[in-house]
Amino acid sequence: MRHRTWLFDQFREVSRLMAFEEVDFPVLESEALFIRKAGEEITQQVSSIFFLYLLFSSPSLLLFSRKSVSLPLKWFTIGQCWRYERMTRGRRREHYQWNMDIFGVPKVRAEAELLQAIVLLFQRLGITSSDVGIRVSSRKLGKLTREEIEKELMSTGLSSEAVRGIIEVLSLKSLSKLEEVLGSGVEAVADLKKLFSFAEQYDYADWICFDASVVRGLAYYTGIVFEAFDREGNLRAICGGGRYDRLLSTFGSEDIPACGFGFGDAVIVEHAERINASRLILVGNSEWERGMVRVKILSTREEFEVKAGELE
Amino acid sequence: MAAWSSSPSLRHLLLLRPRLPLSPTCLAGSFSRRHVHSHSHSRRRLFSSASSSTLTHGDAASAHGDGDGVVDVNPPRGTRDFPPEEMRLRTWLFDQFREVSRLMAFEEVDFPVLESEALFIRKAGEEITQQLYNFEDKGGRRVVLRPEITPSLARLVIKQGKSVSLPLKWFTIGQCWRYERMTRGRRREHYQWNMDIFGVPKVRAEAELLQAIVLLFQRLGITSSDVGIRVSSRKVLQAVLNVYSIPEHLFTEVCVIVDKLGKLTREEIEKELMSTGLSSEAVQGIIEVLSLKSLSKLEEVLGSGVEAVADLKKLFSFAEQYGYADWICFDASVVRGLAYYTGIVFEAFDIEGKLRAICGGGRYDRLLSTFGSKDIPACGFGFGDAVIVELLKEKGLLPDMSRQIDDIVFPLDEELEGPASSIASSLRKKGRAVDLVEDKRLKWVFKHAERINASRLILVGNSEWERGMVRVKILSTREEFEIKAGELE
Repeated sequence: MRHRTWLFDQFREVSRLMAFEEVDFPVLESEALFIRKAGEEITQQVSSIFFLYLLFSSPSLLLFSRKSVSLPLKWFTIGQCWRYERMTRGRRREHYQWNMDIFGVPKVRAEAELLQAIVLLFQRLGITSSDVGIRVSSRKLGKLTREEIEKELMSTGLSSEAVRGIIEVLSLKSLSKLEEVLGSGVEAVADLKKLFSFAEQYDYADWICFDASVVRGLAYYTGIVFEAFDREGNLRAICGGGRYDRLLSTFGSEDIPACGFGFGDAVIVEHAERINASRLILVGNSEWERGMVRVKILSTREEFEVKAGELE
Repeated sequence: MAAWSSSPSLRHLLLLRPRLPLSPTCLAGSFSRRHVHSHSHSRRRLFSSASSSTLTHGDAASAHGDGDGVVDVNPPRGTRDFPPEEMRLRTWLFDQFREVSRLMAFEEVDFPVLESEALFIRKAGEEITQQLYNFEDKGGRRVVLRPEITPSLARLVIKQGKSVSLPLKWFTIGQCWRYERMTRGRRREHYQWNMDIFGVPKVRAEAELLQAIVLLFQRLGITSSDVGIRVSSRKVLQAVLNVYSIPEHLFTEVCVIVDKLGKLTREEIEKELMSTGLSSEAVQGIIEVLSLKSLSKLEEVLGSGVEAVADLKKLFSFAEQYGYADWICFDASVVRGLAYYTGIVFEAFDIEGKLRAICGGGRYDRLLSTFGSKDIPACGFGFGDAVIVELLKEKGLLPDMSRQIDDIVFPLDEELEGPASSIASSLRKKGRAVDLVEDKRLKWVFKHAERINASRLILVGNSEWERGMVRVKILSTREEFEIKAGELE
């Protein structure tokens, strides 16, 4: 419980720094909220009265009474989410999820803010950009797979090395190459260019990379999508999200630009445990404000403060 | 078996929130006026039999409003949403619960809101077990959204097995559920702060719990003229039943009936008691003792050797020493409606008599054996989140729940969005809560600053930025000055 409380406190603190407001809603909801048109992976799993089997990262829906809303809205919540799965798969039926969402900001600024939140969280946990990365792509690129994009780029005469460089290192240079090649994907490229430029200014550019394989299994994402991953490649996505500008109309309402992410409590703990196995990195508010973290070497019980950026 | 007509299984298709990032259809509420149709007010429900394994997609399509009106934007019946302002109040209240728990040196625990129904089957006629929010899951298992927290706690203590190191002092804040006909206009869920002590057989434990409750009230600005705590003991009733040689197995039933004293007439209570097989003599004896309001009178009636009297005397003596004696009073009619209490019981009430019980609890030394484990002395209380808020409203003690932000960063031109980003980013890394605002008029920004109680407004304008500066406005003093971007703290 102490670990959970500590983790949730980190979620809350980052949300506070980003000036988001906390909300909550009943864990029990009308099923109608989660049923979507046939054909989507999620509805294929619908099979009981009381539980829907849904992927970890499907968007959940917030219902409020009629009130006039002042946009933009920046909301976060930490709630328990459920699914019913046959236990032979050995997976859990519940997890807690930190969600941050921005409504009413149509520009890439919103995605840039969300990515800052994620990076801030990782930093507070003592995780660095060599441990974790964030793959970014855009639904506007269409269903082009990474292989297809590589193929297109190679057909322009580039070496496979150069192509890999373009795809893996999102930079202004590689983006323009992409732009040449992808023609119809131009809006996507413009978005990504903008995001990368924000990343430089927010100072988290070394955390993100372009990867067209980020698909995120949900049909309602309409623009930029992203997911954080363990660079050692072992674990499932740590968190993920994207833009979903046209979800509300599926509920019979007017559309409002929206984007957000969900960040579960299980993978991050496994991850933090693994990389921190030999040391415990404690981030307390007073240290954080001085740009420091406290490191405890578990074997010798030695303890000292270190500049967050100098953590090795 | 709980009456099927009252179980929710065939009525509503409700589910436990699946793992999803959120999106608001509150916005659906605000923006949907043009989509309102004649039947938009009816709740959309999908009916399905328990054995059905697929939903018909036709139903699914109409349920999410394809041209058919807005999806129901209200939360399920009897439940609450917490938009930001309500959430701030809730967080504040829970922080009070946590702080008192910390002062009392309790540890926080938690368990799933979903439990096996078996944990709550008690057959003692309690209201709580007649209103279970229960259903069957896909594996055919009977599960329930917990109506109370104590059994989960007991389950966790048993799970710890021999490694458990007593005494245990645990607290939790969790949501509890009940299924009740909505015609009564009552809620189906509430949050409850629970504090429990395991492994302390003496009245010291109850005294500690009462201190926690009084501390909480004091922190909220409530005094002993606003609220009182009635105290009694199940052993009082036990003593009376012994006098009339009433069998042990009727004890819990009698308690549950007697608990309804405030809700049913004396005649109705007498009738129910008689129907359990008690003689009219015994019934009279019970009713008489229950009307006692002084400990000395009780001592007269039962004798001072009786455990009930000794326990209560000890508790009142502790109360003097802890300094909360003016908060508590003896009232023999307090038995509380849960089957498993075995000793001291208590409940807090508002002195003006307008509200329901604010919190309640007691000793339950024989709960674990009903789960097949060895008994451990235990006592605890549950404190709901609703009545206390009503009380605070009544007394004008609700705190000011407005937002608070440190800085607003506002680029005055689109081309300054980059610098605005790096300023916001570095301030956040320094621990400041920063709202980065764009695409609004300055007038809106000032209003917004007031709304969210920002301390500073940081304006990024062309002419200043060319010199590497930004303009800072301290909103409380209206002081304004320029500063080098790098020197912002």
